[in-house]
Amino acid sequence: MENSISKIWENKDFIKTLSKREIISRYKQSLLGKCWIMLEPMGLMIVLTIVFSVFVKLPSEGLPYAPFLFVALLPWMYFNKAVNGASRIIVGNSGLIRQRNFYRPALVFIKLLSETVNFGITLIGLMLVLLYYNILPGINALYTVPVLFIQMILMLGLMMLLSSVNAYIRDVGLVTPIILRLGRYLSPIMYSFYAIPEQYQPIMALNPLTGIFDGYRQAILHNQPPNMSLLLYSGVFSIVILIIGWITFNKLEKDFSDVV
Amino acid sequence: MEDYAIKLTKVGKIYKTNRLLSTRDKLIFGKTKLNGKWSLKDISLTINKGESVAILGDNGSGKSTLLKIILGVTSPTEGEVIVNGKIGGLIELGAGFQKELSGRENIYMNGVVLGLKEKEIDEILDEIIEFSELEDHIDKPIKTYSSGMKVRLGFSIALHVNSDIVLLDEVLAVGDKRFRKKALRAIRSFLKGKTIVFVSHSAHQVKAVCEKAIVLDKGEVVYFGDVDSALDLYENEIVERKDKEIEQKSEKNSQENSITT
Repeated sequence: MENSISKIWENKDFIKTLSKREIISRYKQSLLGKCWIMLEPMGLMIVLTIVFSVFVKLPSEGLPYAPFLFVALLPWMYFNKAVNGASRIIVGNSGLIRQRNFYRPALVFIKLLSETVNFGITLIGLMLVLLYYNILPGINALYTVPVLFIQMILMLGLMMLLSSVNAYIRDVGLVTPIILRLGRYLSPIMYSFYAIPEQYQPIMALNPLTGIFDGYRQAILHNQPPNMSLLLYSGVFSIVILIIGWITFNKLEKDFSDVV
Repeated sequence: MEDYAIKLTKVGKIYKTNRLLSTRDKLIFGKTKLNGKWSLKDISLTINKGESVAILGDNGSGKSTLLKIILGVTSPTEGEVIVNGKIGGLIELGAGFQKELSGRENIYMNGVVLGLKEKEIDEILDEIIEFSELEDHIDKPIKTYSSGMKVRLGFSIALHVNSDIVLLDEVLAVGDKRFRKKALRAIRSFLKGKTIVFVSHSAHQVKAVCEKAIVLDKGEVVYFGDVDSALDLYENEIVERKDKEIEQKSEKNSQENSITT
């Protein structure tokens, strides 16, 4: 572990430079460029808000639907983009992998970092929405920091796992989007965790994203500490995934160039 | 401090077939694939610091696999590889480029992958562009480049990034004659005193760059030594033997044909 951290530190310039370039190049050939980072979640928020607060009314913990949704939707989109893109990390960089011997996990960090920056930009949208509805986060909003940290651990673990296994078995890249689409409905994003019948709540709690998304809501919208037992489960789950992902990646990385 | 740059001990490489995929093929399609064959077998050699060594051999003799093992992008199935010093160079033409990014961005990408800091790349950027003669195209995406342009850029990066060991795989096979000459001159002046491993099919280039040579045949080293005798051996024995094999095959075929008719 200590060894891994010093390796990451050694490669920090490499990771920084390539992340910067990844962020710059992404929207280069599009007319609206970086605006898309904001436009996509905003559009989704407007549509979902109309559907679930006007057409079919969903309970939203006593809050207006738009901020209720956005607090969980943005972290979800961040999670979705990074994990969905993970299967392309190794396969998509086949040229570099075949030609140069460098610190392979860096590619995963680069993806995570550039998605994190994009997520940061979308938070401006969240601030505007909160401002519009006059919701002022209190001191408990600081709980979002550990919650985000847990989410990032989960993402990193999944990305390590999916990127390396997909190099060998390409089915992974085909299945991931399907599972993620299911995950979007099986996580408390469009509805509240407390709105589902009580007997199903324990099943719902098995999804590690439940504790994370509910945590954001409690901390930002209700000025409450997150549900600690849910969050603890998410945390342990994430660490286990990270360990599995890290070991798998390290085992598979030495022959990446033979299979991509 | 050891005086060798690259040391291989009993190195072998077998490209494994994907076990899951071949099991699927066996179960569903009833196909059994043969296990991979040894691309490299029992290679032991030492390349000293400052030596320039050519690798000679036919297609499929294991030249590229050997380079990749030295570079460390693929792991040997057996044996041990020790490399002393920083490796740079150019193998698999154009593979290291991101085609959506511009030439300039790709210089940065390749530079950092080779272990440079952004500031260090800033310093050599102009020289790289000037040597590659791509001033007019450097801000266009790589996907618009011709293969010759890609080689020029890749070669220029390999030349200007400071490294102790330089691997060059068929870098001078593409590109026009004038650039090839310029590149050959550059190899001799820029890379003087560095360890060079050079793969080329041109006897002229090999002689111009290298003092020593390895002859590979079917994954095995058949000769390692002086470049002139290596070229001799390669051209007279292996190429002739191949010719003979092909001749025998076609003779056999024509005999079979004459019997049937």
